[in-house]
Amino acid sequence: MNSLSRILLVDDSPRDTELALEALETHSLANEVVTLRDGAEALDYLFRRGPFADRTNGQPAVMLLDLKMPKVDGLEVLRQIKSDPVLKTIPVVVMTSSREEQDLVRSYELGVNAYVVKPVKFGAFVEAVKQVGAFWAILNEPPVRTTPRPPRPQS
Amino acid sequence: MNLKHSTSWRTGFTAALAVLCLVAWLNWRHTHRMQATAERVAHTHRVQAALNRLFSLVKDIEAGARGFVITGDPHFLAPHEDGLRAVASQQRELAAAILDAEQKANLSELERLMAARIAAAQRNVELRRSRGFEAAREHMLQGEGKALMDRIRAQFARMDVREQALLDERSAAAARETATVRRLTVAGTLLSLLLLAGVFALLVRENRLRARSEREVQELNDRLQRRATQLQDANKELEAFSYSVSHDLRAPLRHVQGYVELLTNSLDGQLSGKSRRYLQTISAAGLEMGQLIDDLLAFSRMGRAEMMEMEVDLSLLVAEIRQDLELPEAGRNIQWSIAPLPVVKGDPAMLRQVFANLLSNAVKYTRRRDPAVIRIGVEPGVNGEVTLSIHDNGAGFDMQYVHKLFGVFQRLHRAEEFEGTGIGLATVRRIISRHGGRIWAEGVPGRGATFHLTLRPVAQPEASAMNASS
Repeated sequence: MNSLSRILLVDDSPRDTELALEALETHSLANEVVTLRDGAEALDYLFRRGPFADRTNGQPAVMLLDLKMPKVDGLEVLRQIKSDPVLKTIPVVVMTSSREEQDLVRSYELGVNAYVVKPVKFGAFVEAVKQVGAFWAILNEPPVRTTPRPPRPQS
Repeated sequence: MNLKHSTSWRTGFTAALAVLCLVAWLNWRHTHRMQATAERVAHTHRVQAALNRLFSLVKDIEAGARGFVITGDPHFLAPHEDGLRAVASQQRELAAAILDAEQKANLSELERLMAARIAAAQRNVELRRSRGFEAAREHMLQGEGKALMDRIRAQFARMDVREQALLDERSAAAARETATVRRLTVAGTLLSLLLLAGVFALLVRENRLRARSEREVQELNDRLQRRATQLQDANKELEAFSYSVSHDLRAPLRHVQGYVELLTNSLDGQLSGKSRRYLQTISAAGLEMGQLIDDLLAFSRMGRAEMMEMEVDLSLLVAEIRQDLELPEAGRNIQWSIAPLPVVKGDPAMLRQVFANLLSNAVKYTRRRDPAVIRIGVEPGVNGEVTLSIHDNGAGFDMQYVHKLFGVFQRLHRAEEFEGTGIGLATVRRIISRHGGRIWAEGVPGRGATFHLTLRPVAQPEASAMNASS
């Protein structure tokens, strides 16, 4: 098994989170998944604020981001990340129920790296999570990191 | 109503103008006539003066002759001889001045009398010279000189009276005409003033009407504006609603699906066949609902979305859709027959939806045919449109229910025969009608169905050549 990087999962629905984690687990991609329950938490995490002020590890390999969330929605999180000189290199995959064109267009305008509509069928959902996770967390070579990375777990 | 008013004020204005022109013309003509009358008065005076001068000449001729007869002194003959020299030209002058027929007759009688009187006077002078006073006296006494002179005097008086009568007649005619013109001028001016007052009243009224209708139009505009704003708001709400449906309705469905799957996996081995079927049914029902939501959202989007107008190559579009459709149908024997399709004007995404729906229907309803035959044809339509037809040899439908075919949630087949939500054709019709086209269908149960639709082609030289040759 390859070494795994950290995946950030931002979704306000605990069910969706559980299902996503199940899917990642099915494909042994869930070594290190940080789950955050809304956009505000995601921003706190990334900018090391509030409860995450003491976070010392580096930035995640990929962020899976829901769009419709309370407090700060996914598009706002995306906007802030992509306008930050350091954070903008984090690949962001929007994973949402919305098939609405406006969301799609807006996400790409803000610089999203991929846009995935969560399929209703669980099998397809698992497949989508697997592909996204495998591509961004394993295959994709991230840019040189500015903050220290945790040691890679050995399998 | 407005039209009637505007024509009547125009008519009134034209009439007033015409009356004023007539009055002006009458006055102008009258001025000319008055000038002519003044000339005639002067002329009459000239004729009277000429008559007087002529009468003086006759008297001079007669008096000169008489003075010479009495005295024998040739000095007395001077007025006689002067008169004789001048009388002819004076007569010509008078003849030229006289125009009236009666006066001309009078003049010739006068000339005749004058000639006789002058001849008598000359005879007296001759007798006095040749035979002396007595012979001349004798001739004067027995001669008719005096009687002639009386008639000449009477003739002059007659002519003078006649000339005066002519003048009076002409003056009276002129005075009558002056009165008439004055009356006409007053009447015409009054009439045109009345007409103009009427026109003014009409214009004032029309202005008021116009102002009122302008106010009404403004009010209607305002109402329309408010209505448009309301519609815009409603549309925004609908947008938000459909967004919410899209997002929030799908999420719990996905959860149901997911957890059913997780449950199935975790109970793997312990599940009875019955329980497994239950779980499969839950899952299938969820999937159906998901499809329904997707189709409904697409249907609603097709009604609201802004339409692009681009050139869409239907041949390319259909080829792409056919590829997508054939992938999951591998192993089936489908015979496609697709005519060269035109480039049409329309929204590419919407037209893709149309052909994806119609062709996937064709593929779906021919599921039990071997071979399945799907034909796409093109015919030139009316008004420069093209008619496309999509024919299949599938399950077909009963023409009795054709009116239900394009309704939302209307299905002509049971779900266990052919799956579907009953929204696809409603969406297709909505898109085609937004493109200004029509769609209709024919079917025979068990034999197949044909869908016809019209679209506007992009004018192409090849296309028109093709049309011309066909």
